[in-house]
Amino acid sequence: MNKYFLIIVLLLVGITKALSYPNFIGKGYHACLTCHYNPFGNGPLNDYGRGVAASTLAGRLFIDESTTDEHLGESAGFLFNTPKNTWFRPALDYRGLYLIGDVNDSNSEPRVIHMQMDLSTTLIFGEKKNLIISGTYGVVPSNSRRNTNDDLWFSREHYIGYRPIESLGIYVGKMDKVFGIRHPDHTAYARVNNGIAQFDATHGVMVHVGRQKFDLGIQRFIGDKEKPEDEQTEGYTGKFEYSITDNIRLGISYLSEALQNKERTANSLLAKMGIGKGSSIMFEYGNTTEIENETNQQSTSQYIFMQNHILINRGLYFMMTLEQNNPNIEQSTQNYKISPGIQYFPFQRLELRAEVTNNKLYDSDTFQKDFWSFFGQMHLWF
Amino acid sequence: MVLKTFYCIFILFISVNTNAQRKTTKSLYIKKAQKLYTKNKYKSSIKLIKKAYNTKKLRKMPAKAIYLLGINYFKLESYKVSNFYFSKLLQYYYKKKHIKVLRAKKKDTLDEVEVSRIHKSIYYYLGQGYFALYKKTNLNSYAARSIKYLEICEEYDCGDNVDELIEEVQKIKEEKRKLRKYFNFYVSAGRLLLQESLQLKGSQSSGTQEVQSNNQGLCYGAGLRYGNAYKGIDFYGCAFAGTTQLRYADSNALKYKQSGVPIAGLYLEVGQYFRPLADKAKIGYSIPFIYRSGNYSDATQGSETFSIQDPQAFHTGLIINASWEFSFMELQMKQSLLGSANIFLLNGVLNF
Repeated sequence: MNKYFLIIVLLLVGITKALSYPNFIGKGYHACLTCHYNPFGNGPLNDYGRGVAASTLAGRLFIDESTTDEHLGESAGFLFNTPKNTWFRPALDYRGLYLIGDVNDSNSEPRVIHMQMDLSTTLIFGEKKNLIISGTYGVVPSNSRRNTNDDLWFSREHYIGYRPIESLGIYVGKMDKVFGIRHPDHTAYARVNNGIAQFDATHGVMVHVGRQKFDLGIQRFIGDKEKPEDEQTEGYTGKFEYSITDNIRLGISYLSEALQNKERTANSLLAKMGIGKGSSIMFEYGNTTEIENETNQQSTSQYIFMQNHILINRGLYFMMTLEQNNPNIEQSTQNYKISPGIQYFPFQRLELRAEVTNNKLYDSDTFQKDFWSFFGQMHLWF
Repeated sequence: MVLKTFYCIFILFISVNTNAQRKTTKSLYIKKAQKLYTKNKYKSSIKLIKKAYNTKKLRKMPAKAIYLLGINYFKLESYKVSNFYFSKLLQYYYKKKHIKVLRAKKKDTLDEVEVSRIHKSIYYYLGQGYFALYKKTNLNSYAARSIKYLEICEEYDCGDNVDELIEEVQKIKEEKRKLRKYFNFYVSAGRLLLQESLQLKGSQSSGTQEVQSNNQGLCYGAGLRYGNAYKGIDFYGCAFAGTTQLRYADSNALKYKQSGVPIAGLYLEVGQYFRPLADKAKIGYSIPFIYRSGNYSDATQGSETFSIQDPQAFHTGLIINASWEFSFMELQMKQSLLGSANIFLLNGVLNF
């Protein structure tokens, strides 16, 4: 019942959120803090982010010529209006997926997955807007979850952030772990291998130091206190990104955490590059080592994530994603996912994405015929 | 509006000198020619001037007559002739000032050189004249001259639309540059993943079984593109070498398994590419022709010997291409969308 209530709220209330991805380095946006309240991205957009998304990044389908980009930027707020106050910013997101696991297999039933139905609120205080209280609450309906009949109601994030000076911020609460490129593909090896997927936000403290050229984040986390104790992980993580030119940003990440029965450490190297007028290349290489506490058995996995965008027209991108995963570097098994696709923001508040993924398995013992999956996504933020 | 202003200047210019020459026949001709010009009878105006003066001896002609010729031809859209007369006017009557102006333009100190209204209007007509010639002929030298004179005009505030004219010239120039076709040779090195279905035959069975072969290797090649900034065609080829692994098992037992089988082959493709926004990223499609040869061994299971039926294979299909350029380097991704064989190629490219 609750989920239907939230869907109704979603449809009735026009609130703005979320169109800001790391590939926008192609448009000259290097740092997440430019557009987000959270200095490492994800979560609600700030006023500038909303304005930029509406006035330059999203397309103008069904928008007549007399409506200027400036006007679009001004009406990017709550109920298509300019915000009436400076301290209260509600936000709402829906992200749904239409998935066909194997397009050539008639037994592969298409699935609709409601990945995200979030309601967020951000409160901003202080003359310099340097005190932020942000919370995002969401639901994943039971029909979009595996092996359960229960809806999942949970807090995606909630934190208090304070920036005593512009280049320094301290954030306390539940947040995503600061690691790697924060792209929205939560099933990517780069995120699953490192425990930074959709439901892996954790309570902790994060310190951010950042200027125009660089971002440094260090986070100490103590586990997601909403989860059962045996699912909570404790550790620390950090990321450093530096813009070596106007369109190239390089970075490194490190994570160390204690799971219930094992220790996990992860490293990654990342690069983001703007190409031409809005296209981009994103690359991440990482390895993750897990050590079983009881047996001291160690295994290291390795991944490559490369997602490249070509700007075709305003709001419309062709994208090509390559993922490679070696679950254990002592074995030769390699998983590949190669996904050409289209990402389209026809106008502010709507993102459509369609991808076909060629799934490959290279293994000396297990043979699998390549198969193609289809992913159609709709992302709404009214 | 601007032309009207110049016309007033012109009247002023003429009238300054007319008193002294009123009584001469030539000056009467000029006056008549001027009237004809105002009545848009440009050809008659020119005819009258030519009657009064020998236009082959321009040095002996007064400035006002040359100027009148210039604007008449400008109105008749004979821009080459019009530009000729304006250039001669600069050469014979404004030479020193013109040189000063050109030097000042180089040093960006045009505000220190004062020029007369007539002198300014000559630059304005020349700028427009060369722009018209550029549009007609595509010659970059005309565009350069047009921009030169219009930029001088811009500084001296000759007319309201000078900025727009400069912008238009530069836009057309840029557009024409983008439409110019050129060859681009490149070399590449990359990694190839190729899955194909092969036929496996047992010595004791009549039919064949389909077995998947996972090839991977390195591919070195070169290509040639021909096109403009928006689109073009691409011919590409690379030679690859690597290994493959195969395995076949039926419900009873493992029948055939090999790994590290050497393979080599040739990948050729012809395709078309598009640069959205004439940018540094390209998308496109191509038709590949892939020849692959593998050194497969027979395998014996019990009393039965299994062998691969197609040690050489040929594949074709449709490839979707995407590439991103940074400086002279390029990242290329190619993925097949159809056919029995799935190919993925990740290339690093050096453009020449």
